[in-house]
Amino acid sequence: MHATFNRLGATLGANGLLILFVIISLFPVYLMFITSLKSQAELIQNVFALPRNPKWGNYPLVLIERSYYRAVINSLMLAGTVTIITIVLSCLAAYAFAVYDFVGRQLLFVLVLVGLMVSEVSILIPVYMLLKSWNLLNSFVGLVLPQIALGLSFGIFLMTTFFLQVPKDLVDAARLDGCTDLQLLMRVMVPVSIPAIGALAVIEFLWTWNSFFFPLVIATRQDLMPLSVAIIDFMGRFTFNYELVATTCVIMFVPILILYVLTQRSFRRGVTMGAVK
Amino acid sequence: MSGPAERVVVKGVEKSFGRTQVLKGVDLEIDPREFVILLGPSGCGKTTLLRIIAGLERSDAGEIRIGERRVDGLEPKERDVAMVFQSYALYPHMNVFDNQSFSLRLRRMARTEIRDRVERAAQTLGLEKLLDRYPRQLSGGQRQRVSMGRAIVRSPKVFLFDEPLSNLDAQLRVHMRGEIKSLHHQLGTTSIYVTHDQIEAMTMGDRIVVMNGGIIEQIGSPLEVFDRPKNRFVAGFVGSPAMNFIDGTLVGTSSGTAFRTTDGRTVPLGPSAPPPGPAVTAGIRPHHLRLDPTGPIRGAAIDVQPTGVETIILCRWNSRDLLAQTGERIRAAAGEQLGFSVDPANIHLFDGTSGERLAA
Repeated sequence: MHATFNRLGATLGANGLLILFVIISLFPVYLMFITSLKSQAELIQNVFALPRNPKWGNYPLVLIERSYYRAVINSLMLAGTVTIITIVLSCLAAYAFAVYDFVGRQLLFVLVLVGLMVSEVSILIPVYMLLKSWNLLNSFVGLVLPQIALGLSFGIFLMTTFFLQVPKDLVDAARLDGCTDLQLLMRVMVPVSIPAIGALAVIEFLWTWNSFFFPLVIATRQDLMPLSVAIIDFMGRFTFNYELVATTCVIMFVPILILYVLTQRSFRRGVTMGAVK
Repeated sequence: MSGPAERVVVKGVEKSFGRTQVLKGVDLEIDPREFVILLGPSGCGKTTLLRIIAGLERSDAGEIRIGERRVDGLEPKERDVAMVFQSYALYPHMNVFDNQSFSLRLRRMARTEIRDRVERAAQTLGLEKLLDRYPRQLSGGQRQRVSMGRAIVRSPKVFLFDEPLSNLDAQLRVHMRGEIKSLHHQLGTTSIYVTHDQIEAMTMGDRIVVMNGGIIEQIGSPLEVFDRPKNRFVAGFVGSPAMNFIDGTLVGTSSGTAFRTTDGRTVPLGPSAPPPGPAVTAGIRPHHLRLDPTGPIRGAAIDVQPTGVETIILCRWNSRDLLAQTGERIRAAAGEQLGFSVDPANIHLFDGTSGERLAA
């Protein structure tokens, strides 16, 4: 009886703590959402209160009248392109690391891992100079290339870890069945690694979607700016019009939320894999 | 569905992993349609040899021939061999039909031909109703059958089995042993089967290749290997429970040569025994020891294990363990003195130094 009460107490305590964390985590999202539905006057009166007359008009105002739909499209294009190319290159490199035993493999893999430690800000100026010399400033390619380079280390690391967990017998069976390297990758390794690819897609998309420094420096033309940069421009021009900034934040937040909900199962499996065999 | 059965020749094959040499010049010839078992303890090189034949490992020296063709420089897919793995190695994202037809689709075979071959294989293995299922929806035995189906649809020249029954429970293993054997009779494809299970080796193979430490110790039919082991290793490894070994010397008596144990007991040998000489080891299989109160072999009972079918008796004799196996149901208290005798024809003699069989 005593043990049952103890267990019940522990469960209630643990769940209570989790609920507290959820409230703390979701509170900024709640604040952002209700702010996006308020007028400026209502916001000043009480920041935390629910809107009396929700101003849904803030959304068409930001997206259409202020032409932020263009920035949304730019962000989707940028994040989508970077995600696809990073996944393709990561899979190809990871396949070589996982399947082949070549001279210098370990050293090369360590170099890939070193890439994870490089700070974005520390390479901003050299990358800017490089892109300038290649005439790629203010271009879509110029925006895409650094993001791919920044994401590849993590992508290769994640996919190599997953490919190494694919049973060796499966690779051997595919070779005996007649697979070439490309067939082995595309018809065996990739299909069995869907959870890892899903996780990589979400993480890459999120990173690129939220990327700020590189797009800020590389894209100064309004028609190229992704939403993460355009929002700054917006804040400056309207001298901190909080409800419109919150509206833009919600617009930035929704695609990530949808992507996460759609892929959350594989995402969870992907990010926890490798922790245990 | 059977392919053209081919001879497999392995000549002087060597293989090292780092500084460890796992194959030390292996020579082996396997006849067309033959079912050969590679038997040996863990680390003896049997799986490495199988993988070299499959092309999944490269040998450091030697050659492999399948039929008239030298294949050791070829990719696995070019060797026309199929392999059944211990772990089944089924593609988890494909259903049974796709798993079985994968190699045929890679070869761009016509759809009707693929369907025909897969259906015939499924019929042979009793998988007709499982073609739409995924590996995770199958039992261990069904998975292993799918794995065999994947091998037979290709009509390969050689089947390679890498401990295919190790993951199955005892009952299913007996059933699958029969299935593999009847499949071999039906298809007649040259087969090489790796195992460390002696029952599988004894019951399935036309010939057994006993390996140890990267070399072949003996090649022969199952009963030949069991009845006339070439050396002490083979004698000790083949047969369960393992053979008893007793050290001693060969001495001359009025009735011919006899074996004298280190504690001075004498066991008469048959007329074909070698002449008296230096140290030897006598090997006696547990089932050849007969309970005989006046017998020359005497030991104190340690444990008596009735299995229902037989009784296994563990004794202590001359400071070493002695196992006897008898069909009788006996009872003996711990420490009780038991006597055994043995037919001289059932005593195997091995050289005390080299361990090689002495003519007997």
